[in-house]
Formats: sequence, structure tokens, C-alpha cells
Amino acid sequence: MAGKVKRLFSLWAHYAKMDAQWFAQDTGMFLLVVFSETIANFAAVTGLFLLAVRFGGVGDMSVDEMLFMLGFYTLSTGLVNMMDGGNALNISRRVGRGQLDHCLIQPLPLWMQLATEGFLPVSGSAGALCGLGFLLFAAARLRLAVSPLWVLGTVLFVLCSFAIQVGMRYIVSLSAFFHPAGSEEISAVMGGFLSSLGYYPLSGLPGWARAALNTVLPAGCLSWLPTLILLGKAPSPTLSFFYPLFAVLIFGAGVTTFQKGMKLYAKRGSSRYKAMGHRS
Amino acid sequence: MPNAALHDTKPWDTAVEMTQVSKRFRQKQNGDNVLANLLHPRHKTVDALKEVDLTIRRGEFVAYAGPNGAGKSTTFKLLCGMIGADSGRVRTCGLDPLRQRIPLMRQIGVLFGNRTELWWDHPVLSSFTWKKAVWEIDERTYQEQFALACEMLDLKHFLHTFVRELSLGQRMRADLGMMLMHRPQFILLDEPTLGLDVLAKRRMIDFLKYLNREQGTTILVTSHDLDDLTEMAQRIVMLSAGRIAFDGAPGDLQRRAGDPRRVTVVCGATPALPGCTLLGSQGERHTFAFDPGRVSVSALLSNIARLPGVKDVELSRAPIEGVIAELYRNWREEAPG
Amino acid sequence: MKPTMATMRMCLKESSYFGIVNLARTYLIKLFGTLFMLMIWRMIAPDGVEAGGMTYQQLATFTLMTGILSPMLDVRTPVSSWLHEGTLLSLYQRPMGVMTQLVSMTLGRWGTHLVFFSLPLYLLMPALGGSRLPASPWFLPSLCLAVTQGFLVDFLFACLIVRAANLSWQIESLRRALTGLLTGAVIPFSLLPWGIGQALELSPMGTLAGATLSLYIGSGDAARLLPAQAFWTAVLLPLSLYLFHKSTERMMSYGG
Repeated sequence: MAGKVKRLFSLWAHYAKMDAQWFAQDTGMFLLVVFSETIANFAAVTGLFLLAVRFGGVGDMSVDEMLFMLGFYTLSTGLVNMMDGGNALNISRRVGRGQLDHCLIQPLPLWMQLATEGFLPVSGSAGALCGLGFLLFAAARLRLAVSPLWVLGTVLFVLCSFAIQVGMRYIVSLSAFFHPAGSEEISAVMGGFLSSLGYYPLSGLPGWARAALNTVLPAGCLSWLPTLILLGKAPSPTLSFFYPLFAVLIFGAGVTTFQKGMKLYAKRGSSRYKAMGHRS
Repeated sequence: MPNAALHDTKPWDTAVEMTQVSKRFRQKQNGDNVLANLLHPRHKTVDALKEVDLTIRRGEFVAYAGPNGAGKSTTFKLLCGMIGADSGRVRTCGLDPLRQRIPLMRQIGVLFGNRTELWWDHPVLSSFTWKKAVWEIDERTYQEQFALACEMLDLKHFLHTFVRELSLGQRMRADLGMMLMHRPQFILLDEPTLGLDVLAKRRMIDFLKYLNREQGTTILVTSHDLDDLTEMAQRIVMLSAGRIAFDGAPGDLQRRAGDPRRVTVVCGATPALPGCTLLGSQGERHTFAFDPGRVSVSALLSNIARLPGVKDVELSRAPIEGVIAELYRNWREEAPG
Repeated sequence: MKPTMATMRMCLKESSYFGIVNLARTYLIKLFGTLFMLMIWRMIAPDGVEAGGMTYQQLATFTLMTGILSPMLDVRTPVSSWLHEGTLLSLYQRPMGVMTQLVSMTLGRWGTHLVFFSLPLYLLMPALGGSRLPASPWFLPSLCLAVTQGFLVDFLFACLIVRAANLSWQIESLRRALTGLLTGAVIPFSLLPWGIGQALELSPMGTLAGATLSLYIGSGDAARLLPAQAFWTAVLLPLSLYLFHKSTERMMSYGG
């Protein structure tokens, strides 16, 4: 176990170095990446924030609470982007394009490759950094009583949100093993769905819709539910326990689904190959 | 399976051991009718390999050939553990490729000519250091192999060039060099000369021969260029419709096809040569095919000597490409369905 | 006309190869997204209450029309995705204009969306609180201008991707983020605070989707929006054609 952890860190270190080298290859590119990433991350949540400003909040959330939620959302989706270099998390693209073959010729377990290959701590960190900034700014405006336990809880919940997003992408990607061309984009579609709805407050929705968006299509689990828990507005204190449990379940389901898909891959292989997105 | 078995790297004598291996695929078949495609997608079954038996010993240089769709890439994927066989037994370097993929990958090198393992948006050198980290190659081996690759494949001029800016020949050389960094004992090359110019191809062939001869590396290579294969390999395995249609030395292949010969006579009018078939005439050059088993060379030459106005005579073996094309045609005609 | 139709038909058929289940899944997810936005509007503007001068019916119509017209309000031709594959070259090997091919391929690809998503959603509009008829007759000319402008903007992004060499992903994510905010396709401009909406409304991005949608729901002023759309189309047309032409050589060698 210790050996595997050590190996993980050594690979992360190597990919971090490669990312830094790529990022710093020329000044123009460096500036363009910083500019585009910052704009993209701000623009993604600005619409809803402006709506909140216009109406003094949305649903039962105030403007600052909304900002906190948007910060949480940007941080957790930023983490997903930071680990998704080369479509390591948008796995249906690798499956559908026949690029798993590249993974299978490496002397590493697949999970270790997928957990490390997409690591972009330099060029892909803008989202996480912006999110952290929003989160801290909103926490200060909300005058939250920040204790070490609360910080730990926030970190845990961000990781849970990350795990749910990854798990869902892997679950739907099973179909790419059956229909490589038709389902090539399915993980991106799921990711897009979750992230396009993941920063809306769900309080005003009918019960069935809230339930659906926190279970089957868990967009609410990306930021709304954990924000309520962290701000002490959750309808039940047991949610602080069930939320991480749910994240573990979804992530576990993603892993199991992928393993099933790999068994199918061993049987069918992939007659399709597209180089697009591979190691670029 | 116990963990120890998964990391089994015992010495091996047999690089490839395939026993009664079959593999079948399903292919989608769609027509012009949009609605029918949506509601009732059709499929057909293709037998990629049918009860194939193949053994390759350590140190052999084997060419794997066959017409398009014969099952060459499927064999490679089976040997690398990318897919599993429907039936039969597959062992690569004594390991089960599907279950012992990780230890196997430390021992073998794989290169698909139409795919690259290099990092597109990085200089070539970055891919080499990446390989060193992922394969956990010790410094000494890495330096030795790196020096060898740089020298034999002439990589040093573009080590710092971005992969996306390389020419095809440079990219193939870099890919081959990178594949060798962990000093694989067995390498599988699928169309490594695809699209290369004459010089690049020559360099690649020489290097592969060097690896086999000097380092004892076992090599299995596919190509559609039969001249390359016969020059490189000591043994040719030819597949046709999922079955092994020929397994032997390049010379045997030629003999099996009847060892056809060519004779070109330079003279004014088209001559008549008993036992020979006229293939074509270009000006005064008239080329005939003949079977030395039926018409002896001495009898043929004395016939030609008796012809009036003969200016020159050339005797040669039929080009291997032509021989193979004839074999493919025969196999296709013999194949059921 | 025959080659154009043949190209469109090929592109229409492409998506049918993936089977009904794949199509249904993609459109179901889109439908969920649309229904979700309707619920958000219900929160902001419950029955009888106006939000920023807009009724729930207007907001619902806005969101439903965004879904129905989505490929037209954010035009994506194959050019930007094909660049990665280096296969743009094939367009130059056919006896048809490159632009004509790109346009006909894009129109062909819209077919599936229009049949399997737009049409059912359009029929469901009254049930979901939306209006099937546009509030202004100027909607149609505005849509035509938006589509034309969309093609031109897509060509410009393709040129940008080519110029930015290995930053295509960055350009794409930037484009997606800007499209969501600046085109007014997700949140109507009239709901934005501090006069931001009024400023964006006449911008080249704002006239892509926001103008057409606001004319449909009756919150936009045709006398202001249509000239703005026409102006940007007139500016973008020579600019994007010129840059596309200038980038041809790079496009040919990109990724290939």
C-alpha cells in the first residue's frame, strides 16, 4: 500500500513537471492560458451571480450565500478540470476513440494511470484557485465561525463533490464500450449536464425534482447540498453523514461500471481509433 | 490468482505461444434508411482468427503478413492483452497477457505504426523522460538505450522539437526509440514502415536487424511491404481469412508459389518462346514468365540464342510483391463465402 | 444543389448510425436541463409576479426557445472540430466550395436535433407554460441574421484555434463560457443588473442569441436589435472570410 501511494505521488510529481514545462513554453501562450482560464471560470458563474444581485438572492439564499455556493462549485469543478488532462475523467472519449489501447501497454494499473495522467496542477488550476477565492471571500462576508473541523468538513465535501462528478461520468461511460462512436461524448454530456445545473439553488423546486437532482442526476450534490450543510441550513443534520456516503457510493458505482466495461473491452476490443485528444 | 503470479517474470524461451486461438467480432452494418438504422441496427459477425496455432522462439525475427482484414492487428492485440481470445490459449513471454499485463509490459515493447505514444504538445525528450518515470527504468539502462537510439535512429537533431512539428519519418523514429527505452526482450511492430520514405525505411530496417542480431531481441513485425519483410525476417507467417496460410522461410514462400522467373529479351519483333508466357512488351524489350521446373534455363537460353537480332537477355526471379499478390488472389478464391 | 443535398443527407444519416438509445439519452439530458431552468424561473417569477419586467410565460418561452433553436443560436460547423483531426484537407478535394460544404454539413447535422428534440419540445410548449407563437414578426429575419452571424463567428473561432496552435482546448472552454454569458442564451439580458444587459444586447455576441430570443418573447425592440444584427453581420462577413482565407494554409497542415 505504501509503495502504491509513493508511486502515485511520484507520478503526480512527474505530470506536474510536464504540465509546468508545457505551460511555460512561451510567454504569449502563458498569458493566453491565464487569461482564457480566468475569464472562462468567472463567466461560468457570473450569470447566476448577477441574477442573484438583481433579485437580492435566489430562492432562500442571499447574495453572499450564493457566492459561497458558486465558490464551492467552481472549486470542485475546477478540481475535476485539474485532473482531466487528456480526457482521463472524460473516459467515454478514451473508450470511444479506442485510446484505451495506449493505457494497456503501460506497466501500471489502469486506475493509477487514470488518476495521474490527467493531472494539470499548473495549467488547469485556474478554476480551483478562482473557486477558493470566491469561497474565502464569501465566507468572510458571511462572517462564518471557521473552525479546524469546519475547514476539514469543507475539504471533505469538496472531495465528495469531485467524487460524485467523476463517478457519474464513469457510470454513463459504460455505454461507450457498447457504442464507441455514438457514446464517445457521453461523459462530457453528463459532465456538462451536472456542471450546467450544479450551481443553482434547489430550495424552491418541488420535492420530487429536488430528490431526483440529489440522487439519480445528482446536480444538487455538486454545490447546493454541501453548501447548505456547511452554512448550517441543511434540513437534517444527518445529511453531513449521508452526503459523503452517497459520494462513496457513486464513486464506487463508477469504478465497478468501468471494470465491467473493461471486461467487455477485452472481449470486443475497439475497431475504432481516433488520435484526437490523445496526449495533447 | 495469487499476487506473486501477477508479477511473475521468469525467464522464457518462447515469446509467443498461441494454441487453437479463435477470435470473433461483431460489425455494425447500416444502410441508407435513416429510420431503419435508428430502430433496427444490423450487425454481421467476422471471424478475425480461426483456431490459430503459432509459436515464436526467443531471438526469432518473424514477419507477420497477410491481406487487409486477415487478423494481423487482432493477433497483436491478443498478444498485448488488449483483448482476450474467445477460445484457445495465448501466452506472451510465458505470461497470460490479459491477467499479467503489467509484468508483461515491462518485458515487451509495442508500436502501432498509425498511432503514437509520444506526447503531442511536448518536445520529444519529454516523452522519453515520461517513459523513464512510468516504466521505472533505472538510470543506467535508460542512458544506454537512449544513447543507442540517438545513434542508430539519428534522433539528436530533433530531441527538443515539439512532437506536433515532426515529419512522419521523424515521429516513427522517435516512437521506435522511445519504445526501446526499457530494453524490451520482445517487440511487436505493426506497420512500422507505414508512409516512410526510402531512407527512413532503410534506417528503420537496419536498426531492427541490429536489435535482433546484436541484442537478441525477439521481433514480430507486420507490413504490407513484402520486400521489406523478406529482407528483415528469417521467418514469414502469412495469415489469410483468420488462418495461418503459410509459415516458413522467405525462400520457401517463393518456392511454394512455384518459384516463377522472368526473362527479358531485347530484339526487334516479339519472339515466340516455347513454354514461356509473354507478360508485356515495351519497344524492343519483351518480358516473359516461365517456370524453371518445366523449362530449363539452359534450354531457354539456347532457344533465345537461335532467335535472329537478339541484342540482350536478362534473367530474374519474379518480384516478391507479384508472387504474394498471386497467393492472396488464390487464397481469396479458395476461401469459403 | 444536388451535391449540397447529398452532403446534408450524409450528415443527417451520421447520427442515425448511433441508434435510437444513444440519441434518446443525449436529448433526455438536454430536456432535463431545459425543465430545470423552467423551475428556476418558477422560483424567480411565480404565477402573477413579474421578474425584471418579465412574466413566467415569457421566461419559460425564452428557455424553451433556447433549447429548440440551440444549434442555430450557437452555430458549430465541423471546421473547429476537424482541425484537430487534420482532415479538413478532404474538403478541398471535392468539387464544391469549402464554405458551401461546411454550411451544408452543419445544416445536415441540425436535422436530428430538430426532429428529435426541437419538434417535440415545440409541441409541448403550451403544457410547459411557453408560447408557440413569436410575439414579433421580426423574429424570423432576426433568426436568419443570427444564423448567418453564427457561421461567421464559428469561422473566426476556427481561425483563432489555428493561430493558437496547441491551445484549442482553452479557446473552446473560453468560447463555451462566453457563449453562456455574453450571447444571452441562458439568462435574458433584461434580468441582468447595473445595465449590463443593455450593453451586451447590441454587442456582436449579444446579437447572436439574445436579440432573436428577446424578439420572440416580445421583450426586445426590433428597431434597435435588427440594425445591430445587420451591422455585425456586415462587419463579420468580410472579416471572417478574409481571415479564413488567410488561415487556409495553417488549417491544412494543422494536426496532419
